[in-house]
Amino acid sequence: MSSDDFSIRVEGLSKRYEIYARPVDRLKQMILPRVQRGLHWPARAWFSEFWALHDVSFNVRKGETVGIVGRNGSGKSTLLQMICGTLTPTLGTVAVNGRVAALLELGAGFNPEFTGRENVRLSGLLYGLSEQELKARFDAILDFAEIGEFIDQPVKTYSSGMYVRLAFAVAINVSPDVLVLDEALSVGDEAFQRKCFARIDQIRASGATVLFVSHAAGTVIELCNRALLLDRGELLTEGSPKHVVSRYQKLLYSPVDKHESIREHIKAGKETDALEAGTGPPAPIAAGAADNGSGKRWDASSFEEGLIPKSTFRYDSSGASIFDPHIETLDGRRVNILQPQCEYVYAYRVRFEWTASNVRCGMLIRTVTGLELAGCITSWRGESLPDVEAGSELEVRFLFPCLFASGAYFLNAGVQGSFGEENVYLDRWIDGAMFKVIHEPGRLATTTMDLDIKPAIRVVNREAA
Amino acid sequence: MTTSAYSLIDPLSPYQALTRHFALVVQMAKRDVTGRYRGSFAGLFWSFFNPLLMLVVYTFVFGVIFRSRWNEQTTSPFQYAMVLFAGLNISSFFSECANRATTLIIENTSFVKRVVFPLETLTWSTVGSGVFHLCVSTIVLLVISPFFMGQLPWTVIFFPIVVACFLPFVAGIVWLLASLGVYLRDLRQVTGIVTMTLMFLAPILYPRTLIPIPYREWLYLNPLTIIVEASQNVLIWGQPPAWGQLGVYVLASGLFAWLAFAWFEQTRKGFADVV
Repeated sequence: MSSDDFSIRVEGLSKRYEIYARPVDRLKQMILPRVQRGLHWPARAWFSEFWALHDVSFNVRKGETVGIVGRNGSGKSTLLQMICGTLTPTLGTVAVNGRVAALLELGAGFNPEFTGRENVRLSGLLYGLSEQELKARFDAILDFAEIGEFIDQPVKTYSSGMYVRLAFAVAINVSPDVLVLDEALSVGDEAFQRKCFARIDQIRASGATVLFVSHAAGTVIELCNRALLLDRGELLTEGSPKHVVSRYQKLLYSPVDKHESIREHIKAGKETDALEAGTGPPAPIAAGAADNGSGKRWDASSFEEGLIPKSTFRYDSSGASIFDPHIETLDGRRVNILQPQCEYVYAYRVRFEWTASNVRCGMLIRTVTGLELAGCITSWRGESLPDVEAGSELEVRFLFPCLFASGAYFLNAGVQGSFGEENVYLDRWIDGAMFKVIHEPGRLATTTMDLDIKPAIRVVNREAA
Repeated sequence: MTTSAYSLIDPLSPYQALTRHFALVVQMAKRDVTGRYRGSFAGLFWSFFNPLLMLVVYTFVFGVIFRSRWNEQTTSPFQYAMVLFAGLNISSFFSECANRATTLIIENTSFVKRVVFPLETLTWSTVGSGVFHLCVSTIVLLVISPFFMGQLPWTVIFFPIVVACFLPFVAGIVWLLASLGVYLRDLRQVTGIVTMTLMFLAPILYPRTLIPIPYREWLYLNPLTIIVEASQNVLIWGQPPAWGQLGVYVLASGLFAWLAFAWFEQTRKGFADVV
């Protein structure tokens, strides 16, 4: 790596936050220890300390797009702030080659009392643009931000979407060498996000470096060449986005008592989980629908222990109880991280304490927000199982294609039957199991369902009349 | 590691903060001036109207009711008000800057934490907006002067020099209070009293000659005294300022600005920890 090839170089970076009970203690800390040392008295500290980042080192080459993932409080924002220069490192160094434009948190750096126009001018001046450059780019910024008349209103009156649009418009129009984005884009609507991503692509194409923090694993896989995993201020691993994101998710959904061992595994690089154990190259996605669920396809589905719904609700059972709701692959492997466009089985068992008649079972898939997506019952009322003896067990299996876009989904289970005339729920679980659908690079489905819609686009040149 | 972008050994470093970011300072000061009257019906007109009204009130209260006279020779009810106005302009410029300084950093948290902002320039934009209001008041004074006093003294051309000698001191105070205000939150309660005391202990409401001899020279301990007297001289009495005094003042004022700026630059690294 030649010396001017790098874009960001971080070496041994650590940050200690000094937490002061009162502002005046900060002043004492600046003056008194020197005096005390001068008098050969023991120097005392006036703060309690918190290390947000320990000894992080990495390099980013020009033109790379690097994603940073990590749980809340893992030090991502601290790292970005030091790269941008708003925080000074306690130990270690940060070197950045060129102009940094940053979008840290919401509409960072805007003064709420100023109008949009004033803030744009101010930010432009801070980025080191001259008056002429500012004038030349002002229209482009306004155009991109799409906030119309509001540009002359104080920024405090903006909606969060407008705020971010304007901040983003400024950041990308100052022709940065390094663009730093901190989850800010999640605020805009889909259309604006698209526009931003298109613009980010353009910036990358022009050779700029993009540093990107996101909770959306899909976005990181889609956008980045490389990813870093931070946890509790440590850089656990870096590498291909897929590699890093899978470890991140493992960490995210693991039970608390297993964090330590998983962290150690990841750090040691020993981690081999289902996501990558397949080693074989992923099949071309476009062919995915054709060999749907046939098993020929590289299977990326896996099982995460910690992925259990926290919202499970069981109605009082009477006469029968459902147990062990779960998802498995066609060959019987238990999974809860599913690959789109593959087939899986949702299975549960029902144990009957009493003998019941007209028994039938059902299932329902819901989104995180509770939207009911799809359901199925084993039979209509007339064709139910006529009699199930007390003490017997039913195994209920629903084969379903995973036609969902990436995200989390929840499963209900229910069994109905009658002891006399009346048909009632014998047992019913709400959110009895959950699964996540991973994002596959290249899949274009948005929102909830992935019906494998095939887009086509072409330019139709209008004939010159 | 050092956090300052300036060579603090250089006594001119406080002014580099102005020249390096001139466009930014102008933008912030402009915003400060226009922002104050934003949304009001008369807008910028108020910055002319306010001093004019003040002058009318002074004339009525001190000239007509109290029959205050600056010196024995005159019978004009206007003279006292004019002298008072000239002095008050200086002291209110000072106290406005000083009082705003204590909250300057606290009120611009986003400049401390979110962006890489040259915080030291906030001082110059505060001073800049203060200078604007001082200019407006002075223009009001100069326009009224021929009507009240019969003539406009030629020495007003020295007024910009007098103000220029004052500026380093004011900027120094702003840097000092802006930095201390972050750490000592009680400061803003104190500065109000202190600036008012300085106003009463300067020859603004009374001529220095009114003070008993043994105490008279003590008035020069007040940093406003020399500037107030010089302003009265050039704006009202038609006398050039006392150049010797002013020369010493500008040196002391420059030294103070340099020290205050260095203090600000040294203490700013702690801002982000406590704002």
